[in-house]
Amino acid sequence: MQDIYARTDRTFAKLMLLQWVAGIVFALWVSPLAWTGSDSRTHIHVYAAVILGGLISALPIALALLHPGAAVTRYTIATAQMLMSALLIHLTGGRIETHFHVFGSLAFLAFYRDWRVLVPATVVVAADHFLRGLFWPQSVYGLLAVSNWRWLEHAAWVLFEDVFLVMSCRRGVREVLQIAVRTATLQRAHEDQRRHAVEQTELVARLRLSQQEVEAATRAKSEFVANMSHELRTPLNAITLYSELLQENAQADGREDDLSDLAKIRGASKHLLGLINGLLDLSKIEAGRMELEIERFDVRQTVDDLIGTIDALVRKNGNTLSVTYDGDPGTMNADVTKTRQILFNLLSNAAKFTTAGAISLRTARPIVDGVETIEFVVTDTGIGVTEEQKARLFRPFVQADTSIARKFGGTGLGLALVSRFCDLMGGTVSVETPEGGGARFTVRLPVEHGPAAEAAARPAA
Amino acid sequence: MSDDTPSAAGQRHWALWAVLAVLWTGAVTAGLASLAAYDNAPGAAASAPPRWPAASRLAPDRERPTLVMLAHPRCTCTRASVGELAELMARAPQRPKAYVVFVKPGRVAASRAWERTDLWDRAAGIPDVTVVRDDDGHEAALFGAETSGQTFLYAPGGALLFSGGTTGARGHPGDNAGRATLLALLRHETASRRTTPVFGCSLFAAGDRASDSPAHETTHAHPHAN
Repeated sequence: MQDIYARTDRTFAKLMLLQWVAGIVFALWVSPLAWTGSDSRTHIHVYAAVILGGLISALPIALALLHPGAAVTRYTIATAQMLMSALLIHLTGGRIETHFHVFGSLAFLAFYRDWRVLVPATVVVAADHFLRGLFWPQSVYGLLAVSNWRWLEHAAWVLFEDVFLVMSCRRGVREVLQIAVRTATLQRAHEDQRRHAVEQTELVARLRLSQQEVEAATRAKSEFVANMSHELRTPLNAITLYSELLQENAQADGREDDLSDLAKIRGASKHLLGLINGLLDLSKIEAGRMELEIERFDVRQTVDDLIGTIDALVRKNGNTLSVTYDGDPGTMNADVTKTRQILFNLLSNAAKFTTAGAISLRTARPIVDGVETIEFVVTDTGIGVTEEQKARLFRPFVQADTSIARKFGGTGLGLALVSRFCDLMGGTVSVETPEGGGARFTVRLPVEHGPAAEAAARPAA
Repeated sequence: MSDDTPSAAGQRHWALWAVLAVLWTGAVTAGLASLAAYDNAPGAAASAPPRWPAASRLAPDRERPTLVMLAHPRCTCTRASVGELAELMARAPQRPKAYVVFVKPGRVAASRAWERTDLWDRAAGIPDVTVVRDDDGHEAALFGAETSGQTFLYAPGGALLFSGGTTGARGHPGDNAGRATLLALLRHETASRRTTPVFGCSLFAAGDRASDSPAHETTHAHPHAN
């Protein structure tokens, strides 16, 4: 509010100056000379405009310059403005138009938004009418004698305007306060937001650091695993090889008892080798060192070759295996080894968890989001997967639950590798439970490997 | 003044301002009062002849009242008087025969068109008003007028009905006792008074009535049928 008071004080100071000059100009234009016969002299109105006008303007201008915003300044200005109205009315010979200066000044005083400034202004107007009505009634009312209360009629019109100006001032002050409160609230909100942003930035920096540390640790772990896997695989290969040789010798010598033990040794070493190979692949992927070998290959031929390999494993638990080609699958330009690995892992999983059931592989070649893809759907009638288990299925070393690991064995790496290989090739893998139970795994891979195909092949989040 | 919390020095400072404000208020009030007193101070009243002066060169009307306004051609206050005359002529049910006589003092007799001011033109523009130049104040002397704006109304028979001014203060147009009285008389109503103060410049200065030049000029304004 102080700013409003000071600004309005300065505006009124300029207005006072302007009015003073206007009064002088008007006096010189309308009544420059007074006459007595052939003699003339400067009209008293000119002196009044210069001296009295200057006097009226001097004090409020001085206060506005020296004490802008002070209450005494605006009350003095209000008083002086009404006195200036009285002077201007005199100078213009009481023209009715000049009386509008009174009402205009009151409205202008409302710019202070302090209804109290209207009090001295209204008192000056009322007093002026009262005194002139008392001493010179004809100049105010056009009559030589008037009622003692006639001045109230004029004052009432001023009060009429005052009522609306007071309401306007009070509303103006309320609005200013509301704006001030909102501004303060907004500033506080900005401060909070800035502080929050700083905290977030620090948090992000800490998280980034943690992430870098985690990534570094992961890379180190993967490199360690890769190196260790290599060191482990070499002697395992030797164990496998020698156990095979010993098996051949035992068979040749007819040592039936030894054959069973040697078969167990060979089986264990092969299992361990498979585990180490899986670990190696996984760690390579996590270390970002797994590379794809892209080549064009026939899909049907690849599937047929794979079926030939896995058929015995599938039928081991009394399962049936069927293959369906939904249209000609054609060729793919992708990593054939990874593709074969994906299908092998899915089919061997299906074979492991299905007993005396049916396993099927269906291929198709749909357009997904404008990209041509190859779709492989492996369906079984096995033990199935619950919704809770689906969430953990593609994580490494995590099987559906611990009871599955005890009952069916396995390393928990197969589906994790399927998921990672699909990601690498720009494809997707999903699992659902078909009607009638079991599980259905759907793999989609882009027909043509490339960055656009990888991006488009991923499902929307 | 709740937003001011001065120290002792500040209190002295504001006390000085308060004294200054009181002095200022007094000076301004005195100034405005002086101005109001001047604006409301009437000029010298006329010693009006109770009957139409026979020696006047102005011809009164035998059928309707005759109005004569004596004016100083350069008196700014008389603008309002001429304006009130126009208002009167517009409102009167029966327009009087009206003269506006502009006094040209003897000392400026040689000054051509000294009397031809915007006031002359304004008066000449009022319908049914005859504007006359009164050299050396001959007519003004016959009617006993001293102040610009002095107005007389004579009955058709020559009797004086009204002598006074047609404004409420110097140069102050608007409702006033003079105009109201003249209007009542022209409507043949009862008027509460027959004289009012006259506000205007003095028609004569010392030495203005030295010669006795008989010459005068008459201008008829746009004649309108009553």
